[in-house]
Amino acid sequence: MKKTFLFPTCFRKIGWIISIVTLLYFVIGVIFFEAKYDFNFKMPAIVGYGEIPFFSEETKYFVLAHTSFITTLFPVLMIIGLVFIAFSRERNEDEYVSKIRERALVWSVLATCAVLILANLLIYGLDALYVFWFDFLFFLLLFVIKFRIDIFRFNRSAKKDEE
Amino acid sequence: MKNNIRVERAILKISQQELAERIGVSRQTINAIELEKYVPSATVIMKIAFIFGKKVEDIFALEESDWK
Repeated sequence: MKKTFLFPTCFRKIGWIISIVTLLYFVIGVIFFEAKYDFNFKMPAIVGYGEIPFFSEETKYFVLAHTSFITTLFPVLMIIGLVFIAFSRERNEDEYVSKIRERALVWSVLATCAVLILANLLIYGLDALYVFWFDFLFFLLLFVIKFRIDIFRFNRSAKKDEE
Repeated sequence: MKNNIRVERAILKISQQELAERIGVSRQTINAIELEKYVPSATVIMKIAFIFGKKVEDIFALEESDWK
């Protein structure tokens, strides 16, 4: 039977390191110090804009796009970190753990959809853009939290019933 | 789905950990199966029956709720 792809167990630690460091930099360097440590750079892009992203009327193709840590690096690094945490093999990976993972995945998709519906109905303007922008991070975060809680309960219930 | 894995284990004098290792699952999974919290796959069911030297239906039995 073909097994679902999962990263090796060690990737979970790597994921935590990437996520925490990125989040700390964002919170302390960017939010706390009011974007003082947000840095700009150029990225090769298939679709880009003029000098000011989002506000330029001119769409360009195959250009060097102007971007920053907040708009590009932060979401990319957070997604990589959370994906490593969410989809790394457990030490005692077996079919029951896969079942727990599947249930957590379904739950987090439904919860994210509920939040998206509410966001669509209740949040407008530029702030809405940020909500949809970080929506995938929210889904991954929900999944990681739900899965880890269920695994903790699973391990704890087995300890209680230990012979 | 009901099962009498605990009884069969006692007959063979093997622990949950040993049974788990032979089947290739975690001890927690064996525990969950015994407590009827989890219905294992056909592969695991057949492995359990093989290890105990019994037929599948001698170890596992369907309940009313399984038909819903």
